[in-house]
Amino acid sequence: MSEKRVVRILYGEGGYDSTKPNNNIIKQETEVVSDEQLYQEQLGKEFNDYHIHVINMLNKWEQQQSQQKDELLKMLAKQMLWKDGWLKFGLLEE
Amino acid sequence: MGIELTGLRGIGSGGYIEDAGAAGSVNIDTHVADLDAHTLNAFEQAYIGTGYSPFTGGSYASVPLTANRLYAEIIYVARTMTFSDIWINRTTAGAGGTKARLGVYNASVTLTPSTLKKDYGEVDVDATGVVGIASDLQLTKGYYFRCVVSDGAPVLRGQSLHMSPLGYNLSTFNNAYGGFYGAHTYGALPATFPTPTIDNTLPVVLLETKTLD
Repeated sequence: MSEKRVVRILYGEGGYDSTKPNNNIIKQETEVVSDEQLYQEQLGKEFNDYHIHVINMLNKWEQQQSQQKDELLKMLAKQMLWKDGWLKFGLLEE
Repeated sequence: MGIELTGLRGIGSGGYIEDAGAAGSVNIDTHVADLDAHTLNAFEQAYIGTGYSPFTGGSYASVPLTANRLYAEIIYVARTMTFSDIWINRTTAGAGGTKARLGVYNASVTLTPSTLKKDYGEVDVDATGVVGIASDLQLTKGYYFRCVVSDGAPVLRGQSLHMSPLGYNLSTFNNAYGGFYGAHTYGALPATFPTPTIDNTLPVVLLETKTLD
């Protein structure tokens, strides 16, 4: 599951330029990302996604349908699990 | 009631401080040389090949960018220096094709970003990791703002400053202000910074030190 990832890119003078070879990238460094790091990043991304959903819904609370509010409650419940770092993949069905 | 001033001093010819009430005079050049010999401005020296960061970060955060908002964080340069590259750290990727543009602005006398010093060009921000542009920039002693603007909403490594000349937020008392942001429709950086709004937490844009000049 581990993967090789580009972690550092340096463009030449002028920055990104699609008319130049390799979009003007003059140096690129990669590193192997461990399974554990991939797992932590996935958790972080999903945690962040839920934050964005919840903030959007709270900002438009009066316009939400009851079904959407149910969804929000479910997200909040998941967020509470994450807060303690105990939500594992596969534990919840969705 | 008037105030009578006596013993007024002025700088005379040859750089001498003259004192009408004193028996002798002091050479200002000697005084400055003496000061240089006994004091140290820590930022007149800098390690080469690292990200120049004269103000200490008080706390670090991931900063989600708002599209079409030009962010500018204050730095100062204590002596003439040349920087080689400019860098940002993308902690969360923006949507496919999202770009960001990097640059440096001069500071006005009131410490707001003013005129454009350098537009480095743009980089991809639809992936994670560190990304930069290689291009030399020489800065002389003074305040500057390093800046970034995006056409999307990537998340960049950011910070709140522990100290800066912009002072603390009087409402929250949380960290010093780090810089400003202003509205700018994505594209080449404007010659003059847009109307600035002061801000606490800003994305970090690092200039890599190359030479002390």
